[in-house]
Amino acid sequence: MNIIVCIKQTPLTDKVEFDSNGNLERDNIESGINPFDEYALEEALKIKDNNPETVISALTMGPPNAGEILRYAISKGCNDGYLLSDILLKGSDTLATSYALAKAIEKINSITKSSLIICGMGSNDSDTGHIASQLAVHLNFPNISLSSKVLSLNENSIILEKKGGQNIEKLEMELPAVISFEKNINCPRLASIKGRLKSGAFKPVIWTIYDIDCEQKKIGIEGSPTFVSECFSPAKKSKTSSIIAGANIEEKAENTAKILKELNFI
Amino acid sequence: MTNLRKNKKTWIINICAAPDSELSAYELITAGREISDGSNESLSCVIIGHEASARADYFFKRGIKKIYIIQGEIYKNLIEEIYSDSLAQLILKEKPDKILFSAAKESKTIAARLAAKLNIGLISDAIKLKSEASGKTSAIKPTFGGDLMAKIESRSNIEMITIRAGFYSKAQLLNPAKNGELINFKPDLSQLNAKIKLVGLSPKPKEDDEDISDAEIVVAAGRGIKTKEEFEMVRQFSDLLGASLGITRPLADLGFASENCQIGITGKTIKPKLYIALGISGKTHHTQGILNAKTIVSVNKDANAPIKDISDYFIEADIKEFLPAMIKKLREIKGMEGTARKS
Repeated sequence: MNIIVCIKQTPLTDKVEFDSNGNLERDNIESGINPFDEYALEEALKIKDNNPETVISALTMGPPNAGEILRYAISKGCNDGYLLSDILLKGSDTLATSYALAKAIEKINSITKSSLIICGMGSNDSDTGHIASQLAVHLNFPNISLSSKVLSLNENSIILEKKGGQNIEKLEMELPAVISFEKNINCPRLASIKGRLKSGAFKPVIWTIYDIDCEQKKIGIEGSPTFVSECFSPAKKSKTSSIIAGANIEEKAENTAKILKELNFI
Repeated sequence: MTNLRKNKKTWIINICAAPDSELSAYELITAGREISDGSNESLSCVIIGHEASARADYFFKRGIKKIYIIQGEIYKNLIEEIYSDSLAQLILKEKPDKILFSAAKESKTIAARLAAKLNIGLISDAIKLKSEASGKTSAIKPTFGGDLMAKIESRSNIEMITIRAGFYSKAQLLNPAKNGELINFKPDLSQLNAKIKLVGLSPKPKEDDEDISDAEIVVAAGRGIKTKEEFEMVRQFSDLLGASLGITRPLADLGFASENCQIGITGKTIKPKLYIALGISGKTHHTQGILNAKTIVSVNKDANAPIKDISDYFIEADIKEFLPAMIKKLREIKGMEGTARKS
């Protein structure tokens, strides 16, 4: 079985900058794999543990250096990695991004058919959680979002657990299909030494938009109905705080209790 | 501006099977009123679910004049495709201008699918909406875990926005209650190629930790708490104060307590009368969730922790020493000296 895992490079630091058009300056920030994608990747690797003939391809869209997260995916056990990178993709919102990713998936599928497209629940930077559902529409595949567990899998279908509103649902879905996984559902493995060695020599397949047969009007700024018109730091409320002091910890506790009493909380 | 806003149809979508969907819908009413022209015709509600019509009264009582109902057995479980296909048909028929969803993750995935199906933009996780001179709505959304705010707009004819819980007040009951128009809509799902089927169902285990959205006193723990034993002291302290327990994202990720009590931009936004922050440094993504707390007391061993700048009272102390002393003191006050932990 072939699986494609969609991963994203996201900033690790809190210091983020935007250019004059409101687009993220991804060049000078320390980046890594989006933490939510770790759980999705682990679910794919677990499937490969049980079926060693499974081939996992990692796919990402981003700047040229996003190839590093593909290397990371290889070190964990993925078989190959595809980087979709093109200046014309800059400014893509979730609709445009999911379209471009769907086109890249179709290209991978034209070589070998994948049965599962796996995504994380969202990203830690833009935090939308739209991609998996939107990929499914572009690919015309069924999808289940926010699954917490794979219960069983065969060539034609997968049974997943999903925490619904009031219940835990067991859902059977025909393949090929798109799945997004919740966070904190597994313990993502560390790369093995063998994996690390393999990743050292790894070179991703790099595609521009001309490699994926996409309509240019559907990608980048032009293809994105939503846009960032302004960015700013969140409002901060500032107070001058009274210090509750004391010669020792007992006195500090006693003085704190006094204040809580004055405020009628005790 | 008023003219441009006139005759715009704003819809709020209520997905019955999504957790907390009823309360979040009352906040959507307030958000919807803010961007519509205030006339009765401009704001409508769509309720979709197994027994959706049972909820209609809640919305009539809060001033909604027109409600679309999409209901049936098929909506019992949250299968995105069924929900998004049904909503898409109603939207294409009635052509609203603005559609608001809750940003609860279950609603968001349905909204995302719907947006791709209709080939329109989707703005996610707005915490504030604003009517622009063009008649469009702009939305403020936290990004990078709340460290940065982005103003986002949509070029699509239909503007779709999901709204985070806790940032708008809930629409109040009207007195006397009013009635309105109820429209049943039956989508044609015959084309739906059902590739997903429910094969099992079990009740969700009850979360141990209560919902803290409306708590009056909240005691919250942050990264200064390192061990389960220290966290147990936080619980004792919280119990002694009759408070609800909160945690920051790092502690939620470590599994100290359920996500239900995570406070901050990616968790709950709360407005308690008293907020006690224990070992919380005060990063923006956390403090955005407590901006409306009335009194903030913080305890931190770092006298320069940013939490101090938003606190009314600050105690410089190591949590490991402060909590036992505080628990002892509270037990004395309550005449519980020597007794075991309150049950």
